[in-house]
Amino acid sequence: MIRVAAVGDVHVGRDSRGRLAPAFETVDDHADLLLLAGDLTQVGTEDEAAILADELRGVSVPIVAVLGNHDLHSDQTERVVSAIEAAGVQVLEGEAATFKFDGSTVGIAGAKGFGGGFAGACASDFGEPEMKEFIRHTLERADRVEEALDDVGDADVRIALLHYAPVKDTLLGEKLEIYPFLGSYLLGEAVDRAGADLVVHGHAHHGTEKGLTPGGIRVRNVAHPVIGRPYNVYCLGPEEECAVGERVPAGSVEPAVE
Amino acid sequence: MSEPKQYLVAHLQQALAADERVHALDVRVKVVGEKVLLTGAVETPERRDAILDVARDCCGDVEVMNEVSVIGYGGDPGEEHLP
Repeated sequence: MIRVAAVGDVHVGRDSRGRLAPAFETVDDHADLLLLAGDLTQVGTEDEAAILADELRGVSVPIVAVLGNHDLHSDQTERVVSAIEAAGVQVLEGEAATFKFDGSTVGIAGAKGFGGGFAGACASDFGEPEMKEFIRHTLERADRVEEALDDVGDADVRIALLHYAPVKDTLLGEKLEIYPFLGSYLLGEAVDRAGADLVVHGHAHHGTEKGLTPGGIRVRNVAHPVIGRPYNVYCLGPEEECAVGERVPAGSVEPAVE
Repeated sequence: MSEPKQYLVAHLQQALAADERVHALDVRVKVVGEKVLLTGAVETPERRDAILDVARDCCGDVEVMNEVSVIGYGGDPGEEHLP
Protein backbone atom coordinates (compact mmCIF):
# COMPACT_ATOMS: atom_id res chain seq x y z
CA MET A 1 0.00 0.00 0.00
CA ILE A 2 1.29 3.44 -0.94
CA ARG A 3 -0.31 6.79 -0.27
CA VAL A 4 0.57 9.48 -2.77
CA ALA A 5 -0.27 13.13 -2.19
CA ALA A 6 -0.46 15.24 -5.32
CA VAL A 7 -1.19 18.80 -6.38
CA GLY A 8 -0.25 20.91 -9.38
CA ASP A 9 -0.40 24.52 -10.45
CA VAL A 10 0.36 26.10 -7.10
CA HIS A 11 1.75 29.08 -9.03
CA VAL A 12 3.92 30.41 -6.24
CA GLY A 13 4.75 34.08 -6.62
CA ARG A 14 6.18 36.84 -4.48
CA ASP A 15 2.74 37.19 -2.86
CA SER A 16 2.57 33.49 -1.88
CA ARG A 17 4.91 33.45 1.10
CA GLY A 18 3.30 31.70 4.07
CA ARG A 19 0.20 30.57 2.18
CA LEU A 20 1.19 26.97 1.41
CA ALA A 21 3.43 25.94 4.30
CA PRO A 22 0.69 25.30 6.92
CA ALA A 23 -1.13 22.92 4.57
CA PHE A 24 2.00 21.15 3.38
CA GLU A 25 3.13 20.58 6.96
CA THR A 26 0.35 17.97 7.25
CA VAL A 27 1.47 15.92 4.24
CA ASP A 28 3.54 13.58 6.40
CA ASP A 29 0.37 12.59 8.30
CA HIS A 30 -1.48 11.64 5.13
CA ALA A 31 0.99 10.34 2.57
CA ASP A 32 4.28 8.58 1.89
CA LEU A 33 5.19 10.78 -1.02
CA LEU A 34 4.27 14.22 -2.42
CA LEU A 35 4.01 14.83 -6.16
CA LEU A 36 3.97 18.34 -7.67
CA ALA A 37 2.53 18.40 -11.20
CA GLY A 38 4.15 21.52 -12.66
CA ASP A 39 3.48 25.26 -12.71
CA LEU A 40 5.20 25.42 -9.38
CA THR A 41 5.87 29.12 -9.91
CA GLN A 42 3.94 31.98 -11.49
CA VAL A 43 6.54 33.22 -13.98
CA GLY A 44 9.48 30.87 -13.47
CA THR A 45 11.96 33.03 -11.59
CA GLU A 46 14.61 31.88 -9.16
CA ASP A 47 13.06 34.10 -6.47
CA GLU A 48 9.69 32.40 -6.80
CA ALA A 49 11.32 28.98 -6.72
CA ALA A 50 13.13 29.92 -3.51
CA ILE A 51 9.81 30.92 -1.93
CA LEU A 52 8.33 27.55 -2.92
CA ALA A 53 11.35 25.81 -1.42
CA ASP A 54 10.73 27.63 1.87
CA GLU A 55 7.05 26.64 1.80
CA LEU A 56 8.05 22.98 1.40
CA ARG A 57 10.62 22.82 4.18
CA GLY A 58 8.13 21.36 6.67
CA VAL A 59 7.58 18.29 4.49
CA SER A 60 9.59 15.22 5.51
CA VAL A 61 8.31 12.69 2.97
CA PRO A 62 10.03 12.59 -0.43
CA ILE A 63 8.84 15.23 -2.91
CA VAL A 64 8.97 14.70 -6.67
CA ALA A 65 8.10 17.43 -9.17
CA VAL A 66 7.96 18.22 -12.85
CA LEU A 67 8.05 21.72 -14.27
CA GLY A 68 5.18 23.37 -16.12
CA ASN A 69 4.97 26.03 -18.80
CA HIS A 70 4.91 28.85 -16.23
CA ASP A 71 8.17 27.59 -14.75
CA LEU A 72 9.86 28.09 -18.13
CA HIS A 73 8.57 31.61 -18.82
CA SER A 74 11.57 33.60 -17.55
CA ASP A 75 14.27 31.40 -19.11
CA GLN A 76 15.74 30.71 -15.69
CA THR A 77 15.10 26.97 -15.77
CA GLU A 78 18.40 25.79 -14.30
CA ARG A 79 18.25 28.29 -11.45
CA VAL A 80 14.60 27.45 -10.80
CA VAL A 81 15.41 23.75 -10.61
CA SER A 82 18.40 24.37 -8.33
CA ALA A 83 16.34 26.50 -5.96
CA ILE A 84 13.60 23.87 -5.73
CA GLU A 85 16.10 21.05 -5.33
CA ALA A 86 17.60 22.94 -2.39
CA ALA A 87 14.46 21.97 -0.49
CA GLY A 88 15.14 18.30 -1.24
CA VAL A 89 12.69 18.09 -4.13
CA GLN A 90 13.57 15.79 -7.04
CA VAL A 91 12.71 17.59 -10.28
CA LEU A 92 12.26 15.14 -13.15
CA GLU A 93 12.23 15.64 -16.92
CA GLY A 94 12.21 12.35 -18.77
CA GLU A 95 13.63 10.67 -15.71
CA ALA A 96 12.52 8.22 -13.06
CA ALA A 97 12.74 8.20 -9.28
CA THR A 98 12.11 5.11 -7.22
CA PHE A 99 11.34 4.69 -3.54
CA LYS A 100 10.75 1.81 -1.17
CA PHE A 101 8.04 1.92 1.48
CA ASP A 102 7.40 -1.08 3.75
CA GLY A 103 8.84 -3.46 1.20
CA SER A 104 6.92 -2.03 -1.77
CA THR A 105 8.72 -0.15 -4.51
CA VAL A 106 7.20 2.93 -6.13
CA GLY A 107 8.48 4.36 -9.35
CA ILE A 108 7.69 7.89 -10.53
CA ALA A 109 8.26 8.74 -14.19
CA GLY A 110 8.29 12.49 -14.55
CA ALA A 111 8.07 14.69 -17.63
CA LYS A 112 6.39 17.97 -18.47
CA GLY A 113 4.79 16.83 -21.72
CA PHE A 114 3.33 19.34 -24.18
CA GLY A 115 0.21 20.17 -26.22
CA GLY A 116 -0.92 19.09 -29.65
CA GLY A 117 -4.50 17.96 -29.23
CA PHE A 118 -6.33 14.70 -29.18
CA ALA A 119 -7.19 12.03 -31.72
CA GLY A 120 -9.47 13.45 -34.40
CA ALA A 121 -8.57 17.07 -33.60
CA CYS A 122 -4.82 17.32 -33.28
CA ALA A 123 -1.83 18.98 -34.88
CA SER A 124 0.07 17.10 -37.60
CA ASP A 125 3.72 16.95 -38.58
CA PHE A 126 3.11 18.90 -41.80
CA GLY A 127 3.38 22.36 -43.31
CA GLU A 128 5.23 25.34 -41.92
CA PRO A 129 8.46 24.73 -40.01
CA GLU A 130 6.85 26.23 -36.92
CA MET A 131 3.96 23.77 -37.11
CA LYS A 132 6.28 20.82 -37.58
CA GLU A 133 8.46 22.05 -34.74
CA PHE A 134 5.42 22.25 -32.49
CA ILE A 135 4.28 18.67 -32.99
CA ARG A 136 7.82 17.29 -33.07
CA HIS A 137 8.33 18.85 -29.66
CA THR A 138 5.29 16.94 -28.44
CA LEU A 139 6.59 13.71 -29.97
CA GLU A 140 9.94 14.21 -28.26
CA ARG A 141 8.27 14.93 -24.91
CA ALA A 142 6.04 11.86 -25.28
CA ASP A 143 9.15 9.76 -25.92
CA ARG A 144 10.57 11.12 -22.67
CA VAL A 145 7.48 9.95 -20.80
CA GLU A 146 7.82 6.46 -22.22
CA GLU A 147 11.56 6.31 -21.56
CA ALA A 148 11.04 7.43 -17.97
CA LEU A 149 8.41 4.75 -17.44
CA ASP A 150 10.79 2.18 -18.93
CA ASP A 151 13.39 3.35 -16.41
CA VAL A 152 10.93 2.74 -13.58
CA GLY A 153 11.26 -0.95 -14.37
CA ASP A 154 9.30 -3.49 -12.38
CA ALA A 155 8.36 -1.27 -9.45
CA ASP A 156 5.28 -2.48 -7.59
CA VAL A 157 3.53 0.84 -8.25
CA ARG A 158 4.26 2.83 -11.42
CA ILE A 159 3.13 6.45 -11.63
CA ALA A 160 3.52 8.91 -14.50
CA LEU A 161 3.81 12.52 -13.31
CA LEU A 162 3.09 15.09 -16.04
CA HIS A 163 2.07 18.70 -16.37
CA TYR A 164 0.12 18.50 -19.64
CA ALA A 165 -2.93 16.27 -19.97
CA PRO A 166 -2.66 12.83 -21.61
CA VAL A 167 -6.43 12.47 -22.19
CA LYS A 168 -9.47 14.62 -22.93
CA ASP A 169 -11.49 13.29 -20.00
CA THR A 170 -9.78 15.50 -17.47
CA LEU A 171 -10.25 18.60 -19.64
CA LEU A 172 -14.02 18.54 -19.29
CA GLY A 173 -14.97 22.10 -18.36
CA GLU A 174 -12.27 23.68 -20.49
CA LYS A 175 -13.13 25.36 -23.79
CA LEU A 176 -12.84 22.86 -26.66
CA GLU A 177 -10.92 25.40 -28.73
CA ILE A 178 -7.92 25.31 -26.38
CA TYR A 179 -7.65 21.52 -25.96
CA PRO A 180 -4.58 21.41 -28.27
CA PHE A 181 -2.79 23.73 -25.84
CA LEU A 182 -3.70 21.63 -22.82
CA GLY A 183 -2.38 18.24 -23.75
CA SER A 184 -1.85 15.54 -26.33
CA TYR A 185 -3.01 12.02 -27.04
CA LEU A 186 0.66 11.23 -27.70
CA LEU A 187 1.30 11.43 -23.96
CA GLY A 188 -1.55 9.02 -23.23
CA GLU A 189 -0.36 6.68 -25.97
CA ALA A 190 3.15 6.70 -24.48
CA VAL A 191 1.80 5.85 -21.03
CA ASP A 192 -0.37 3.07 -22.43
CA ARG A 193 2.59 1.57 -24.29
CA ALA A 194 4.87 1.63 -21.27
CA GLY A 195 2.23 0.79 -18.67
CA ALA A 196 1.43 2.54 -15.39
CA ASP A 197 -0.94 2.34 -12.45
CA LEU A 198 -1.75 6.04 -12.35
CA VAL A 199 -1.13 9.24 -14.30
CA VAL A 200 -1.15 12.54 -12.46
CA HIS A 201 -1.17 15.88 -14.29
CA GLY A 202 -2.14 19.53 -13.92
CA HIS A 203 -2.33 22.51 -16.32
CA ALA A 204 -6.09 22.40 -17.01
CA HIS A 205 -7.45 24.72 -14.33
CA HIS A 206 -11.05 24.53 -15.53
CA GLY A 207 -10.95 20.78 -16.11
CA THR A 208 -12.13 17.73 -14.20
CA GLU A 209 -10.25 15.50 -11.79
CA LYS A 210 -10.87 11.99 -13.08
CA GLY A 211 -10.21 10.28 -16.38
CA LEU A 212 -8.92 7.12 -18.02
CA THR A 213 -6.48 6.48 -20.84
CA PRO A 214 -7.69 4.40 -23.81
CA GLY A 215 -5.58 1.60 -22.35
CA GLY A 216 -7.45 1.76 -19.04
CA ILE A 217 -4.97 3.62 -16.84
CA ARG A 218 -6.45 6.02 -14.30
CA VAL A 219 -5.70 9.70 -14.85
CA ARG A 220 -6.07 12.41 -12.21
CA ASN A 221 -5.96 16.15 -12.92
CA VAL A 222 -4.65 17.59 -9.66
CA ALA A 223 -4.47 21.24 -10.70
CA HIS A 224 -5.09 23.19 -7.51
CA PRO A 225 -8.14 25.02 -8.90
CA VAL A 226 -9.64 21.63 -9.90
CA ILE A 227 -9.21 19.79 -6.62
CA GLY A 228 -9.90 22.89 -4.50
CA ARG A 229 -7.88 21.43 -1.61
CA PRO A 230 -4.26 21.68 -0.48
CA TYR A 231 -3.64 18.32 -2.19
CA ASN A 232 -5.34 15.01 -2.88
CA VAL A 233 -4.13 11.67 -1.56
CA TYR A 234 -4.38 8.56 -3.73
CA CYS A 235 -3.98 5.28 -1.90
CA LEU A 236 -2.86 2.44 -4.13
CA GLY A 237 -3.27 -0.99 -2.61
CA PRO A 238 -5.80 -3.21 -0.85
CA GLU A 239 -8.85 -1.31 0.36
CA GLU A 240 -8.55 -2.56 3.95
CA GLU A 241 -5.02 -1.18 4.18
CA CYS A 242 -5.99 2.18 2.72
CA ALA A 243 -8.74 2.71 5.33
CA VAL A 244 -10.18 5.87 3.84
CA GLY A 245 -12.28 6.22 7.00
CA GLU A 246 -13.72 9.64 7.56
CA ARG A 247 -11.38 11.50 5.28
CA VAL A 248 -12.86 13.59 2.52
CA PRO A 249 -13.36 11.64 -0.72
CA ALA A 250 -11.38 13.21 -3.55
CA GLY A 251 -13.46 14.66 -6.34
CA SER A 252 -16.64 14.73 -4.27
CA VAL A 253 -17.20 18.43 -3.78
CA GLU A 254 -16.86 21.70 -5.62
CA PRO A 255 -13.54 23.47 -5.21
CA ALA A 256 -13.37 25.45 -1.97
CA VAL A 257 -12.63 29.13 -2.40
CA GLU A 258 -12.09 31.86 0.10
CA MET B 1 -15.69 54.20 -33.92
CA SER B 2 -15.32 52.24 -30.68
CA GLU B 3 -13.58 48.88 -30.68
CA PRO B 4 -15.89 45.88 -31.23
CA LYS B 5 -16.33 44.06 -27.92
CA GLN B 6 -15.05 40.79 -29.41
CA TYR B 7 -11.65 42.39 -29.99
CA LEU B 8 -11.74 43.90 -26.53
CA VAL B 9 -12.11 40.40 -25.05
CA ALA B 10 -9.11 39.14 -27.03
CA HIS B 11 -6.99 42.18 -26.16
CA LEU B 12 -7.83 41.87 -22.47
CA GLN B 13 -6.97 38.16 -22.43
CA GLN B 14 -3.63 38.98 -24.01
CA ALA B 15 -3.05 41.77 -21.47
CA LEU B 16 -3.88 39.46 -18.57
CA ALA B 17 -1.41 36.87 -19.86
CA ALA B 18 1.41 39.31 -20.60
CA ASP B 19 1.07 42.00 -17.93
CA GLU B 20 3.73 41.44 -15.27
CA ARG B 21 1.27 42.41 -12.54
CA VAL B 22 -0.72 39.21 -13.13
CA HIS B 23 0.41 36.80 -15.90
CA ALA B 24 -3.04 35.23 -15.61
CA LEU B 25 -3.78 32.77 -18.42
CA ASP B 26 -6.83 31.14 -16.90
CA VAL B 27 -9.12 34.06 -16.27
CA ARG B 28 -12.20 33.84 -18.46
CA VAL B 29 -13.31 37.06 -20.10
CA LYS B 30 -16.68 37.68 -21.70
CA VAL B 31 -18.96 40.55 -22.51
CA VAL B 32 -22.31 40.53 -20.75
CA GLY B 33 -24.57 43.33 -21.88
CA GLU B 34 -22.41 46.43 -21.73
CA LYS B 35 -20.01 45.04 -19.13
CA VAL B 36 -16.90 42.88 -19.19
CA LEU B 37 -17.16 39.90 -16.84
CA LEU B 38 -14.07 38.19 -15.39
CA THR B 39 -14.36 34.71 -13.86
CA GLY B 40 -11.98 31.96 -12.77
CA ALA B 41 -9.70 31.41 -9.80
CA VAL B 42 -6.25 32.64 -8.78
CA GLU B 43 -3.89 31.80 -5.95
CA THR B 44 -3.77 35.07 -3.98
CA PRO B 45 -5.99 38.07 -3.17
CA GLU B 46 -3.26 40.35 -4.53
CA ARG B 47 -3.53 38.70 -7.95
CA ARG B 48 -7.32 38.99 -7.94
CA ASP B 49 -7.03 42.72 -7.27
CA ALA B 50 -4.27 43.18 -9.84
CA ILE B 51 -6.44 41.48 -12.47
CA LEU B 52 -9.05 44.18 -11.96
CA ASP B 53 -6.40 46.89 -12.33
CA VAL B 54 -5.17 45.39 -15.61
CA ALA B 55 -8.71 44.97 -16.89
CA ARG B 56 -9.64 48.56 -16.10
CA ASP B 57 -6.50 49.82 -17.83
CA CYS B 58 -7.39 47.78 -20.89
CA CYS B 59 -11.14 48.39 -21.02
CA GLY B 60 -11.25 52.18 -20.70
CA ASP B 61 -14.82 53.32 -20.13
CA VAL B 62 -16.30 49.81 -20.26
CA GLU B 63 -17.37 48.63 -16.80
CA VAL B 64 -15.51 45.55 -15.50
CA MET B 65 -17.06 43.03 -13.10
CA ASN B 66 -14.40 41.00 -11.30
CA GLU B 67 -15.92 37.68 -10.17
CA VAL B 68 -12.54 35.93 -9.94
CA SER B 69 -12.15 33.77 -6.81
CA VAL B 70 -9.10 33.09 -4.67
CA ILE B 71 -8.27 29.43 -4.02
CA GLY B 72 -7.22 28.78 -0.46
CA TYR B 73 -5.16 26.05 1.17
CA GLY B 74 -7.58 25.38 3.99
CA GLY B 75 -9.53 22.18 4.55
CA ASP B 76 -8.55 18.55 4.55
CA PRO B 77 -6.93 16.81 1.63
CA GLY B 78 -9.20 14.67 -0.49
CA GLU B 79 -8.53 10.94 -0.41
CA GLU B 80 -9.30 8.22 -2.93
CA HIS B 81 -8.60 4.52 -2.89
CA LEU B 82 -7.27 3.15 -6.17
CA PRO B 83 -7.36 -0.65 -6.12
